Amino acid sequence: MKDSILRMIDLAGGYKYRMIISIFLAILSVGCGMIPFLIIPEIVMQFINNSYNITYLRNLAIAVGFALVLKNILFAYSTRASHKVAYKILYNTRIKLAYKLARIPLGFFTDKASGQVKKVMVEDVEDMERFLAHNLPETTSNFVIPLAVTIYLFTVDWRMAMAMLITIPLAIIPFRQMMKGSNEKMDKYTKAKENMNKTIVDYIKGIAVIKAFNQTTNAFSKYKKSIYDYEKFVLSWYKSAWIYMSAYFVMMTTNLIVIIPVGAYLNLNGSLSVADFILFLTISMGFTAPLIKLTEFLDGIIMVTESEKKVYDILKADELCYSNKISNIKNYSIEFKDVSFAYEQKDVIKNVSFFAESASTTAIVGPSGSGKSTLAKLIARFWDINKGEIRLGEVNIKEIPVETLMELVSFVFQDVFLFNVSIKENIRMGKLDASDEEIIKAAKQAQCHEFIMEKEKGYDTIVGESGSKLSGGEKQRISIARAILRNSPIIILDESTSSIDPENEDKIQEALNNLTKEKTVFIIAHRLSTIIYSDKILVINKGNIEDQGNHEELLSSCELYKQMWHTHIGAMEWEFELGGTK
Amino acid sequence: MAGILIRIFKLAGKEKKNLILAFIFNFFESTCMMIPLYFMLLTLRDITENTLTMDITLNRVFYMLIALLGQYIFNLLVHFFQSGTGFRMMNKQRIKMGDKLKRMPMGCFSDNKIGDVTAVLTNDLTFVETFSMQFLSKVANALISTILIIVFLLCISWKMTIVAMIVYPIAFLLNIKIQKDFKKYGEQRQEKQSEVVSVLLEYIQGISVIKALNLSGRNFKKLESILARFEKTALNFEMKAVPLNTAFMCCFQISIGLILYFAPQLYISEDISLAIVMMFIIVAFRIYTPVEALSIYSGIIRLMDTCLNRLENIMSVQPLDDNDKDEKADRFDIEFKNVHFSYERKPVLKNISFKSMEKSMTAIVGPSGSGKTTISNLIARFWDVQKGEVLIGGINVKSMKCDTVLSNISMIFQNVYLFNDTVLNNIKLGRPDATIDQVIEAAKKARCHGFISELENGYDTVIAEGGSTLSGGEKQRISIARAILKDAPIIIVDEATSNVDPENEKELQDALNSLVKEKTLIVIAHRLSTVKKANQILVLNKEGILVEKGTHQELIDNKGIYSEFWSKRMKARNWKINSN
Repeated sequence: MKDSILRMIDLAGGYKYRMIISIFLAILSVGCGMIPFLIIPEIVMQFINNSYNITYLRNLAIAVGFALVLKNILFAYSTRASHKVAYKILYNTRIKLAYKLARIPLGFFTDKASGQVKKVMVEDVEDMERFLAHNLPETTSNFVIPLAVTIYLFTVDWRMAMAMLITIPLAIIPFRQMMKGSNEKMDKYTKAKENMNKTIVDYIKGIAVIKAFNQTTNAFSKYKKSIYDYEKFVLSWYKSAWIYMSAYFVMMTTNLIVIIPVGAYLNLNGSLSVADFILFLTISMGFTAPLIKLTEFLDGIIMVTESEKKVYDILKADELCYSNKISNIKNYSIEFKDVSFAYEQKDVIKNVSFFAESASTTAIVGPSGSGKSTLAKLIARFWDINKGEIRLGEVNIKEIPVETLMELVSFVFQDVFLFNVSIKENIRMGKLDASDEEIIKAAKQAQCHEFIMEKEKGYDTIVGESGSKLSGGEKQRISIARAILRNSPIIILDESTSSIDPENEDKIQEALNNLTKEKTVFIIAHRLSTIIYSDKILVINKGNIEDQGNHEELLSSCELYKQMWHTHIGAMEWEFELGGTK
Repeated sequence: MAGILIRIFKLAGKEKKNLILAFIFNFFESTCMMIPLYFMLLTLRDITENTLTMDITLNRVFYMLIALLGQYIFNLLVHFFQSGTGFRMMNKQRIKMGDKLKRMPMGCFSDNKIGDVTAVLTNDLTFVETFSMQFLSKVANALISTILIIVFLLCISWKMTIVAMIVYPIAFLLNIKIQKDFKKYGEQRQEKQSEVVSVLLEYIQGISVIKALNLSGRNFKKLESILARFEKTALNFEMKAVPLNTAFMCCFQISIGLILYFAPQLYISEDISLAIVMMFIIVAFRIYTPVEALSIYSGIIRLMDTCLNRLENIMSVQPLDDNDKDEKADRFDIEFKNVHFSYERKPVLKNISFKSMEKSMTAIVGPSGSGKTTISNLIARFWDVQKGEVLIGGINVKSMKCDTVLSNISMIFQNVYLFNDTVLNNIKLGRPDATIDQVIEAAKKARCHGFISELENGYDTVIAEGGSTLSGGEKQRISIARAILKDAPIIIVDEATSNVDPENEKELQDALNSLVKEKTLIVIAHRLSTVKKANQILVLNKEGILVEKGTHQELIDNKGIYSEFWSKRMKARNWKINSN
C-alpha cells in the first residue's frame, strides 16, 4: 500500500511539492475548523462570570466566523493544489503507459490483453484521481488535527480527555466486527456483480440468437438468476453489516454520555474548573466529525491500491531487447536455424529450420493450430524466440534495430486497423513523406482508387472509429495500399485476407498480386489452390516442419499435404443441396 | 434536486412504501440524536446557575442511554427499509429491460448502439443503485433536521430564527448557479473525457499498426495533446467549481458567526434567557451540517440524472409486436409484396416482390450493401417494413408475434454468438426439452460431435465468453447443430459462413447440407458457385432494386449482371498468388 502511494506521488514529477502544499493547507483548514470550539467556552465563561463586554463578545463572534470562512478558503486552495497534482499524475501515468506499450513485444497484444490494457488506461488510471485529489489531503489532515487536539486536551485535564476518547475503542469493537472478512466479502460482492454484468453483456450480445430461437426461457432465466443472486448476496451482506455499522456510528457520535457525568462528578468534587468542563463539552461536538471522515476514506485507499498495482504491472512488463547497431543487411533472405518458441509455457514452434531466398515466395500450410501464423509472426518479432536464430540477410534479427526491421517487413493480416482520420492519411502512414500522387498510385494498385472516388469526399473521407464507415473488403484494400506505399522488401501475408469480402475477392487478389511483386513473400495459406506455384511450401504440423518442397514434390512425398489438397478440392466444388448429402 | 427525488420515487414502484417507512424512522432517529445535545444544554444551564448535582446528572445519563438505544434501533430500521430497496428497485429494472430487449427491433443492437444498451444495464444501474439510497437518506436527513430545528427555534425566539434562516435563500440561489455551472463545465469535461477514451482505445487497438509502421512518435503527439487538453479542461472544471462551492459553504459559516454575534445582544436586551443564548451558541454549529452534507451530491445528482435519462430512452423504444394479434402459419412459403424498407431514413430496399415456394431454394445475390441481409432480417421480423407486406404461408408477419415468426425460422449467420454456458446448453437453445441423445444426434449431423468429444468435459465444457475457446468453424458448426435440433421449416443461411474456417470447410459444408434438407431455404450467396441448383436466384443491385430473377441457367443466358458476376467469380476462384 505504501509502495503504491509512493509510486503514484513519484509520477507527479515536478508537481510533487504542490502535494505537500495541498496537505499542509488541508491541515491548516481542519485546524481552523477547531478554533470555534476553543472560542465558545470563552464566550460561555463571559456569561457565567457575568463580566461580559458586548464588544469583546462581538469580536469573538467575528473571530469564529472568520476562522470558519478561513477553513473553507484554505480547503479550497488545498483542493486546487491537489487537483493540479492529481491531473498531472493522470497525464504522466497515461503517457508513461503509452510509451511502455510501444516497447512491449507485439505478441503481448492478444484480444484479452488488449482488453485489460484498455481497462487499465481508461478506468484504473481514472480511479487514481479521486484518491489523489481528495482522499490524500483530507485523510492526512483529518488525522493530524484530532491528534493535535487530543494532545492539547490531555495537557488541560487528562481524566476528561480519557472520558472523551473512551467511546472510540468501544466503537472500534463493532467496526472490527463489521470489517471482519470484509476483504472476502468485498471479493464476493465484486464477483457477484461481475457475474451479473457478464451475464447481462452475454445476453445483450446474444440477443439475435435469443430472438432467433424465440424460446427465451433458458437464457432469460439465467439472466434473471444472476440478478437475483446478486441481490441476495448484497442484501445478506448488508444485513450482516447493518447491526455493526449502526452501532459504530451511534457510538462514535455520543461521547457526551460519558463526558457529562464524569465532568459533573469532577466538577462537583472540585477538581475540574467550570471553564475546562465547558471546553470539553463544546469540543466533543467538533471532534468526531473528522474521525468519521477517516473511516470513510479507508476503502478509497484499498481501491486505489488495487488500481495502481494494475498500472504498475504493465509498467514493469518485459520489453524487447533493443539494438542500436547499424547492421549491414546484404539481401532479403530469411533463415530459421533450429528455432523453438514457447508461448505461455506451451511449445508452439519446435526446432524449425528453413531457408527462404531473397525475392522468393514461401507458403506456410498446415492444420489449424499447427503454429503456422506464429511461425510467420516470429519474423516480424511479435515475440522473441527461446532458442535458435532467425536471420534476415545473414543478420540475426535481434541485432537489427526494431525500427529498421519494421521498415523491412510489412504484414497484411485479416484484422485491419484503420485510424479515425481520412483515407489519404491512413494510406500515407505507410510512408510519411509520400506525395498525393504516390498515394493515389498505391491506391490504384491496391484496387481502391475506384471505391474511394465514389465516396462523397474521395480521399478526404474520414473512415470512422476503427474504420467503421468502410466495409471489411474496403478496409483490407486500404491496408494493402498502405503496404504497397511502404514498399518493404519482405511481406508476410495471411491468404484468408482475400476472402474477407467474397464479392470483391478478385479485387483484393489483384491488390495482393501488386503488393507481392518482386518481394520476399511469406503466405500463411488456407486454400491450397492459391499457392501451388510458390517456390517453397512449408508443411507445419504441431509446431514441426513435417515437410518442405514445391507443390508437385509434396504431392508425392507428403501424406498430410496430399490429404489437405484433396479435401480442399472437394470443398471448392460444393453446392447447397435441398436433397441433403448422400 | 427535487426532480431527481421524484424520478427515484417513480422508479420505486411497490417499494415506495418502504421508502416512506424509512423516511418516518429517519425522523425518529434524528429526534433521538438531538436528545444528548438537549441534555448538554441543561447541564450548561445548571453549571451557570450552580444547580448541578450528581443525581440530576445520573438521571440524564439514563435518558441519554435510552435515546442512544432509540437512535440505534431507528437507524437499523432505516437501513432495513431503505438500503436493500435500491438494489431491489434496480434489479426490477434489469429484469424489465431484459424482457423488453427481446422485443425491440434489431436496429437497437447495431454495433454503435449495443454499447449504450450494455452501459445502461451494467454501469448506469449500478451507479444509481449505489448512490440513490445514500442520497435519499441524506436528503431526508437534511430536510427533517432543518424542519426540527426551525420549529424548535420558532418556539424560542422568532428574531433569532430569522437570523438563522436568512442564509437559506442565498445558499439556494448559489446552489442553482452551482448546478448550472456543473452542467456546463461538466459536459465539457465529459466531452474531453470521451475524447481521451477514444484516443486511448485507438492507440491500444492500433498498437500493432503503430509499431509496424514506426508511427509511435507521430501518434504519441496526438495522444499527448489530447491528454494535455483533458488535463486542462478537467482542471478548469474543478477550478470553476471550487470557488462556488466554497462560497456556498461560507454562507453557512458566516451565518454561524451572525448567530453568535446577535445572541448575546438579545440576552442583554433581556429578550431571552441565558440558557437559551447558550443553546443558540451550541446549536449554531449543528444547524447547517445536514444541508452542507448535501452539497457534495451535486455531481452525483447530475450523473444519476444522465443515467436515468438513458434508461428511459431505452424503455421508451416501441416494441415490434405491440398489438395482440398472433396468427399461426400452416404452410411455409415466403412472399414479398412491394416491400420498401429504409433504415435511419436511408432507403435500403425498393419495391421488392418475389415468392419462394415451400421446400424450395432461393438465393439472393448482389454487391455488398445491396440489402441482401436486410431481406432475411425482414423475413425474421427483426425489423418491420415501411411499405408492402412480408408473408409467411400467406400471413403477414406483422400479424404474428415476433416469437411466433421466429419459431418457424432458423438462421445461420457469419457472426455466431455462443453463450458463456456449456456446449450442451448452447445446442439445446434450439429445443430446450431435447434429450441428450437428440442433442448428440444433432451434433453428429452438424459434424461437431467429433471435436466436442475431444473437449475436456465433452458436452459439459463451458464455452468462454463469446466462444473464444473454439475456432470459428467449430462455433459455426455448433450453431448449425442448434438449428438442426430446432428443425424449423424455414432456413436462412449466409453462405459466407462456409468460409470462416477454410481448413475445415468441407465439414461445415456437410453440416449445412444436413440442415437444409427438405426446408424452405433462403441463401444469401457470395460465391455463386454454391447456389447453382437454386430454384430461383434474386439479383439485387447497389440501389436495393431487384433487377433479375430466375434459375442459374436462365440468368447466364440472360447475359445481365448475374452472368457478369459469374465470370468474375470464376476468375477469382482460380486465383494463384504470383510467384516471382
